Amino acid sequence: MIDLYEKALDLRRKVIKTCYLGRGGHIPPSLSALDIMTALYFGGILKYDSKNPNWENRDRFILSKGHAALGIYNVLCDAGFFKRENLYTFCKPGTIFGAHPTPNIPGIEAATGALGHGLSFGVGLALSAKMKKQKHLIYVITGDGECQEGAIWEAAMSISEFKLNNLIWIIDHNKWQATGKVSETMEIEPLDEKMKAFGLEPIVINGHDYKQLINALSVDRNNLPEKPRVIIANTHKGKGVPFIEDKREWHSKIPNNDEFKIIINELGLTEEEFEAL
Amino acid sequence: MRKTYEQAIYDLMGKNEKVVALVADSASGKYEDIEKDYPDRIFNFGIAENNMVAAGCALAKEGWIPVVYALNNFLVYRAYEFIRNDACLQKRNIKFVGLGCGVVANTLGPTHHTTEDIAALRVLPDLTLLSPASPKEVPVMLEKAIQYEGPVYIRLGKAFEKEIYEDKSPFEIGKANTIKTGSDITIFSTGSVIADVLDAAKNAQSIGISAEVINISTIKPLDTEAVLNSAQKTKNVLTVEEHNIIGGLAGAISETLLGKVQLNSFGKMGFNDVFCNDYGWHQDLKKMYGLSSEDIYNQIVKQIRG
Repeated sequence: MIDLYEKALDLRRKVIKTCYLGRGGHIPPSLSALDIMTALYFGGILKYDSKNPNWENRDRFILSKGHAALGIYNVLCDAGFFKRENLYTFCKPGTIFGAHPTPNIPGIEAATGALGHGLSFGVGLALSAKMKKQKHLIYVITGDGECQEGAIWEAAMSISEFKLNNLIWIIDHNKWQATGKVSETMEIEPLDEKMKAFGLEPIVINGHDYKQLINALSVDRNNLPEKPRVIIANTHKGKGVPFIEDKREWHSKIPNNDEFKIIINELGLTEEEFEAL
Repeated sequence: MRKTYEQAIYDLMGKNEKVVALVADSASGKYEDIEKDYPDRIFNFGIAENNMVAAGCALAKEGWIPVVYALNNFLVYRAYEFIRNDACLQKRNIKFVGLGCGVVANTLGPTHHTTEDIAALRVLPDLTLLSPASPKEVPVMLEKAIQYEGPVYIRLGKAFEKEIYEDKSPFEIGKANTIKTGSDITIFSTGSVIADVLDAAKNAQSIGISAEVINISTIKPLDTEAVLNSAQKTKNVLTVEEHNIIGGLAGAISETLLGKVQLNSFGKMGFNDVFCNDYGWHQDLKKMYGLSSEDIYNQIVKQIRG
């Protein structure tokens, strides 16, 4: 198997390059969720066929926190869903790649960006799989600030009520939202206790540790967990780039050229190497 | 309309195995038989319309034909962003049935009325917006909505609507239906208030005013050809709707006619940019807010005789 840490470093560099070219999107929330998505797509978790994105038996992945688009775009690109030259039209007139994903993009199941939609969409996908007796799984990543949306808890109730153990909900718990700390804005803790109270089985992990990620994300399709699983992945916003990591002002800030140089350097690239990405 | 609708959805579920019923604590009446006879194809989401709509859109993506059924006020107002983003933006093949449009919720009061729903829904790209006039129109409308590929919203009445069709409704998506022909004035109307319009038109006939009554059962896409042709013929137009006069049928008709037909008069009847803050039966409320057949008659006379 490929070294997932190496893969993620490469993807982080490409996330920055994509943002650099398009001057749009959200870097830190993409980087917090990046290891989760790398584990899903390159760690042998998701079943997919990048040459046939609508393959009936594929696992369904929903990025409910659509502002991590820079992350999923680069993951899908490296997984073969589209060409890098296409992705590098990001945020430019005529592109299909905006700061939030839509199903116009191969591999994207649903338009997200308005928070609190994706988990409910996952509920419908999971219901359909149960009705059709299909074995594929549904993975949904929400943010932690996103858990302030009431619809999240409507969805949580229904995951439990409908016994949707074919749905795996991952919370990218980076502790930040657009304008500040989640805990100082509208506290969502204790998340694990809330999940238990909703009839779900929480697993708390380090969302940047691949051993823990692979372990938590792996589900035996022939012996689904009794209770639907929710993975609370503790992460850092801007992970991998100390210059922006866990810094309030960076949620949707686009670096200027000098700041890009610092970031590129922190990711271990020369400017020439960055140009060549 | 409620009973006719419930029977129709029950029958359709027997005919089409792709139809899935979604409810938000709104499964009463014939829906209880759906729960009994098709238990695998009905989901009760509890009082949680947002979750129901987004989940429904996912079911549509997977090839099912979800029919979402909830009180109109909760569905359109509460779940609006979900209808917009999950259904319309992504052109999902989902059907919405909103129970109790206008002020038919009568004594339940203003929180349960929907007198702005046409305005809110009409502006959503790719949404087909339907509005049955009487019970016999409902099963035809539902069947056509299910045959149609894409998001459809049906604003349903509730109970005691007068039947305006003798046999089957000639309803087709995108086609207006002329209920009564006339030459002096065209009355465009939608929903069950059309029965009051017909009464008013008959009374006007007795004093020599010939009114054409057109049932706009598809609010979007509007049958602009029928609207333009009739307005061109009569040169006098009146819109009647159980809805705010802003943004609804009056808005749709005037947008269509503006710059195309030179009119002698244009009248619009509906809720005059107010909430219905009174109580009583459906007919009482319409009377209080100037939507009785007598009010409509007076407006016709005013527009033609001055």
